[in-house]
Amino acid sequence: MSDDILKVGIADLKVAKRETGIITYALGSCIGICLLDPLPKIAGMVHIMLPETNAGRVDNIAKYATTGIPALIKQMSAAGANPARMKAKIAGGAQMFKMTQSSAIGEIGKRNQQKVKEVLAAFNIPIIAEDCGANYARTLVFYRESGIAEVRSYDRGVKKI
Amino acid sequence: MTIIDYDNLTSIQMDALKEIGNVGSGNAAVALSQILNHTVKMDVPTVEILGYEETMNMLGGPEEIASAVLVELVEGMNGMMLFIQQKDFLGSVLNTLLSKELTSFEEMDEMDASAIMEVGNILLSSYVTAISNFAGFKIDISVPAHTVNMIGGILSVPIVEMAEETEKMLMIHGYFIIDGQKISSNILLIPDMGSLNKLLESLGVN
Repeated sequence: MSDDILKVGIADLKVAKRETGIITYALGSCIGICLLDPLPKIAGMVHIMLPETNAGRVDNIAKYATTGIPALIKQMSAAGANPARMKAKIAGGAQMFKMTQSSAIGEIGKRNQQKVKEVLAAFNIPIIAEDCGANYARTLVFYRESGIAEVRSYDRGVKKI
Repeated sequence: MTIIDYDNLTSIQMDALKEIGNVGSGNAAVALSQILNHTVKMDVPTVEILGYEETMNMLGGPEEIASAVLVELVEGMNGMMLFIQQKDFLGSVLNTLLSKELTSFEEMDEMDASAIMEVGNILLSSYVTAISNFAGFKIDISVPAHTVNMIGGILSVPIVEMAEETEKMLMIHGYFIIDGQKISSNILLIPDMGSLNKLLESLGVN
């Protein structure tokens, strides 16, 4: 992977103005949200872990869909992007372990998907591609110039969305 | 004093957890030797508090493939335990148990997966027995779940589950020795903070 690809960690976000792209590794129930304003070609990615906080305090805004997505939009706007032109691609929200007993662990991926869609809809940002759900981890690479997102997973190769 | 994150653990508390890890690993070696009908020894394990990135790097990076067995702590304590099985462990166990030469994860079939899940469940139970004996209260675990996938995705499960409380995990890392061969064993113990405090209190190191 070239040095020109920004790395987004878990509960982290990055904005690319000149770089080739942005990558986040091995999304499980987490969701990677890629945003692009195609005119100035400014791209952003946030890797959220949970829909929203239950603790009442937010130690890291990028951890939650309800705070991470607005923060990414804000940072991209500060860099010169216009939210009205932004389009989204999302990946992740899987259930890594199939739990036989009813468990919150199994539901988190689905809840993340719902909340991410809700938050993007509130900002009027359309989701033009997604690869979510199932039971495997996904590495997500988002290319700034083309707006292509690559999803890599174990035993399933690479998928372009 | 109430512990609010793993980072707050004192050296006396860490020593108590190390002792549990040590005895649990001894139990696990005995259990594994019974399953395999083979002599299994275990080195003294290291017990440490690690973050997501550190654990991932220790196990080969986010996209490294591993097998993992997960159980939830459902009575006595809340939280979860994970047994991360790398290729050397799978190869050795499946070879002894099913006479299978496994060279890649892709070759695992359903029978292999179910054998590995059962072995994982038994070994995790050995640790739970050790904790329960030290603590003096009963601890129950859920039925196990199993996956073969990217390390990053596997480790994100406890990290997400505990996200409101901590970003750390307790790792018990050691080696089984089977026929002179060292085979890595990685157990992650992730009780929630209430359960961690309950455990420390019962050990007399609160």
